Amino acid sequence: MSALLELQSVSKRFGGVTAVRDVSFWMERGETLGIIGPNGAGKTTLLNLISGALPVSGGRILFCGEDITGLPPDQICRRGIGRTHQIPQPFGNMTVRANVMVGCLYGRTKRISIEEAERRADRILQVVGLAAHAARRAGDLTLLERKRLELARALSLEPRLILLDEIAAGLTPQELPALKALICELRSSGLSMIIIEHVFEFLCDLCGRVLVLDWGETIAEGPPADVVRNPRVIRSYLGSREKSARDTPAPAGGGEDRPARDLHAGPAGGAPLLRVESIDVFHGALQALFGVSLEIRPGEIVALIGANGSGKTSTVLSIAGVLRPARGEIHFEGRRIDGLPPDRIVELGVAQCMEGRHIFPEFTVQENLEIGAYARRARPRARDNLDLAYDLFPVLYERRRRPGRALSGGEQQMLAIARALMADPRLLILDEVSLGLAPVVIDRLYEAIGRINRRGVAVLLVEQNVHRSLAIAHRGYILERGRVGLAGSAAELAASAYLTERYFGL
Amino acid sequence: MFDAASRALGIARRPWRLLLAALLLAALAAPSVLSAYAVYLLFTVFLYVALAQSWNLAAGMTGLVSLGHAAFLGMGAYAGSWAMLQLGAPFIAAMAAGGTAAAAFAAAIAVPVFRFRGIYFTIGTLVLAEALRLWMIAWPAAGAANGLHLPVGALPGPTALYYVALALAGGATALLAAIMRSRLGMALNAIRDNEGAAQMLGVNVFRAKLASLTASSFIAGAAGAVWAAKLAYIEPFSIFNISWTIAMVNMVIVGGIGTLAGPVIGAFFVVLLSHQLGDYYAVQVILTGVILILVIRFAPYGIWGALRSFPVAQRVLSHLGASGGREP
Amino acid sequence: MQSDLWLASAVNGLVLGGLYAATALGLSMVFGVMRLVNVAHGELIILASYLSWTLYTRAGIDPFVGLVVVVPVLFAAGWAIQRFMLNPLMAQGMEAPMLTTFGLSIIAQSLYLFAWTPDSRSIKTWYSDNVVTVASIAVPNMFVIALLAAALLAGALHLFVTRTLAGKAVRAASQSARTAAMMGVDIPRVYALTYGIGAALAAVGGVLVAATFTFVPSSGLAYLLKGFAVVVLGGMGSIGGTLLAGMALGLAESLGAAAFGTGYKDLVGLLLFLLVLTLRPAGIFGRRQAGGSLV
Repeated sequence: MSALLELQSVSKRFGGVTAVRDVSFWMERGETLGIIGPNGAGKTTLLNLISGALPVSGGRILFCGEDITGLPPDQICRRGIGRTHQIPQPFGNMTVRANVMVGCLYGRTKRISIEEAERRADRILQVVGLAAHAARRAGDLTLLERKRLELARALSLEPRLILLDEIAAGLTPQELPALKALICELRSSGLSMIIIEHVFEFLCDLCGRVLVLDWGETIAEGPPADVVRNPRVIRSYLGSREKSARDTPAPAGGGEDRPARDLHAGPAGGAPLLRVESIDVFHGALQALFGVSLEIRPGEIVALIGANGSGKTSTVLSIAGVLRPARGEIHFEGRRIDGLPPDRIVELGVAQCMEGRHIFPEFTVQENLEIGAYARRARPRARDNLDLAYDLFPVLYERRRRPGRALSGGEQQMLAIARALMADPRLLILDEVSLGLAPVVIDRLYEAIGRINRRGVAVLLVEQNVHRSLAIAHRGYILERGRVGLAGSAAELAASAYLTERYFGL
Repeated sequence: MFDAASRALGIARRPWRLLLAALLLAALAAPSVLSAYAVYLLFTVFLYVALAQSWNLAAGMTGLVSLGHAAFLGMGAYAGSWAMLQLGAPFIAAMAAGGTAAAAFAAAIAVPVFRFRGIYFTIGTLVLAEALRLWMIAWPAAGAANGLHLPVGALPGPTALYYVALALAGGATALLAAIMRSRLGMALNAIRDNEGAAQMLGVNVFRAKLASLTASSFIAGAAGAVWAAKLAYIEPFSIFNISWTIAMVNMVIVGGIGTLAGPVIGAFFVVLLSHQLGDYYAVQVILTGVILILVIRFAPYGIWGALRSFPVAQRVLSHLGASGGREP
Repeated sequence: MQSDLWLASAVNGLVLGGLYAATALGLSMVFGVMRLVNVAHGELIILASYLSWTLYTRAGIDPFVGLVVVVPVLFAAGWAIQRFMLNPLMAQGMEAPMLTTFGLSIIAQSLYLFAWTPDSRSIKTWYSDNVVTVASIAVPNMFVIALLAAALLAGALHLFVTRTLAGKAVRAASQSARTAAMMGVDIPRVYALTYGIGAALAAVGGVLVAATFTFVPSSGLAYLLKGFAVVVLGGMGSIGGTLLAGMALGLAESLGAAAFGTGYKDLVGLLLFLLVLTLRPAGIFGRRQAGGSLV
């Protein structure tokens, strides 16, 4: 009997970057396959290839024996593949019922009447638990409700295979069981599913088999319990222990001459530079942070660790002024900064290097750096900081006249960090600087971070690569679903089994 | 909304339909009781209702914000006039010819124009309409700048034209109502809200947009033919003038975009305003512009949207059995 | 037709194109930085035309001297419009601000009608009707002056956005408003500045128009549409591209008029616009992705 879905050596290239490399697997009818992997591993790209949203660069995709490679998305959905999106995209001005009816009316080859579509939509809404909201405007729904709507829309296509892209992301621990129950129900009705997830306990109960991707390739495959204990998988998520300890230089202590790493609190005493007190932060209706508190002392490096969706970026955006906490306070150098706009916060001495680099593509390297010194506080020392930036990253000096978009990923990251430095900050926030970079490049970045810190700049380091960040940091906080799970010195955190337990449910 | 409406219509047909029937009777009786000028005013209102619903279909329901709708109006006017002059066609046939010509034009430009995404579509339609205007001013076969004179004898009188306009307004509104609760209507709204997602659910976006634009342009074209018959004369400067587009945009946005009753309210509003300020054209236009800006800023759902959010209005409407109205 | 007539048409067209480029720079800038289609752009141009005309006929001030007054006035008006009317709407996507400028344009046209009547106006100075002769081709003085003015404006704009801090902030905002905000750039202020500059550029265009052609309250639309054509041909927000595209438009118009008659002159430009937009939605010089910059 032929497999439900078969991928044969599927690849996807974006210009010079290979997002998916030679991926092959198959799944049976009725199976639930999980796909996991660190950020940037190519999971969503793979789903996009299967659903037809992106064309493949190589290989074949077979569904129920038919070659569907290269078909447009509306034809693939008619053959019975439905999907949800990481960020729900409902038809905001239409009712919930109408949202589902579109799929009922257009998603299958057989045309049905409006009344029939209405009946089917109501049945589906019943299944996903949105029956009570059928007449509400879709744009008004909460995040969990939107996720249910995404699922309902996928179901409206009467699919044989459903692709779930991080459907548990952003949900609170209270909301997860309901969603899990729903998916179990769907599974027992015979629906085949591919689930991409970061929340492991969600995955483990649902999937019979898990595929692990890293750098666009499959690195492991098997039952969840085995895969999760696979050292290679653990390494891909948490980073390598040995490498970080050997290669990262001894981190800062606060002044110029560096003694050996202080395993305890870091720079001695003094009022904290940054104090985050019990903040609650919301993204629309979704609560991202629940009473998060943390502290950074002058000249310290503090690591902020956590899985995807744990609230790291929300924390950082709150400090930078992009998000405003609904409750709680943030103080910098004794002065309250929550609620201030980002440009004011930059003036006060907090610079942020955002996740995803975000350099200005049309500006040259030099222009990028110069605009980094836009804030008034930064202008007197702009010249000096520019020299410092080139000193820290000599490759930037070589490429100073090239436009930002011509730089490699690693060079862009260096530029982003240097640009943040140009704002002459006392606190530098680095958000996921090692994403998608080769280890050797990350080494150089961390070396520079160490040097920056030795000049007296405090650093808040948000990292997925746990071991590297703990090797360089003085202290750390582990965030878990919007709360501080564990805090302590870097050594304490590195030694504890907390991480492997919490990450993998072991 | 859609659902409340269909439920409402099922449960409490009578009050809403009764009101509608009463209004219809009043409208039919109007020419016998009102003065000629009042009839002319109502004629204008009904014609404008048709135009407003036309723009509402394209922009409000499908998200095709066109600033070139005057082109369809003008096309219909010329086609209808040409049918009467060259072919000696009776007026009703000429009106159909006008609508068809406009729809054919819309279908012809659809392929390139739908490739313009978002704001480029709007600019593109503006340019297209202006290009058409310039062409018609220069083209001798259409009478060029002198326009066309229609044979007064073959044209219907003011009362007949009044009924034609009423029928057109009623027909356009009924068409929109039918589309709103049809399979196509769902597709159009989906395209308006998120074109990519609609495609991923199996909607053929191009065909749906084409259907919407041709229906919209047909209405505008037919209205153009009616206007030509009223004036018994058309020339390109005024029939292709952007002031028609301005009126359509105004009526729909101020009245309530995407709804059924909004454009109707908007039409009454615009015609009444011009009636009151007839002598002061400049003031009228300025006031129109100011109101448009204020509505966009402070009441984006228009008069109808604002009305419906008031508890008093909601109670009245629910008594009529139209909780929220027949429209989304 | 004889070849020297074609040549004369071509040269005149190219030079006239300078005027078109000058009038389009402001539109290009506002669109390039904020993705805002400023439907009131034509009316800003005509406002400057009327102000300049008024100064000339009431006080005898030469239009180019009058720039000293007209440009700041337009800058201030533009700045105020963006700051108070458009900034609050910028978060809602592009339709709301665009339709607001649409409302502004119809208000403006009526105001002009009211203040200056529908009579057509123009400024005739001692040098207006003179003609420059180059290689036995006669080109009106004003065309040449307009071309020089356009080149100067383009150069000045280029210097502004590449050498000054404010200019770099504007470019940064056009590439990524969010990132620029993280550098400390006050985005609403930058937008107000941009619109003000756009209006100031329109002012220069308007003065040139007044001194070169006749105009009436509704003349703005034609310049708006030519502006669109220039922007699409020249690539969104590219200064050098705008200059070249203006000349290309002028050339196309002149040749079209020579071939089909003057009635079809404006039509040529519009058809060219539609053709280019169909084939290359980012314009001839534009980059393939939507986020361009000004250099």
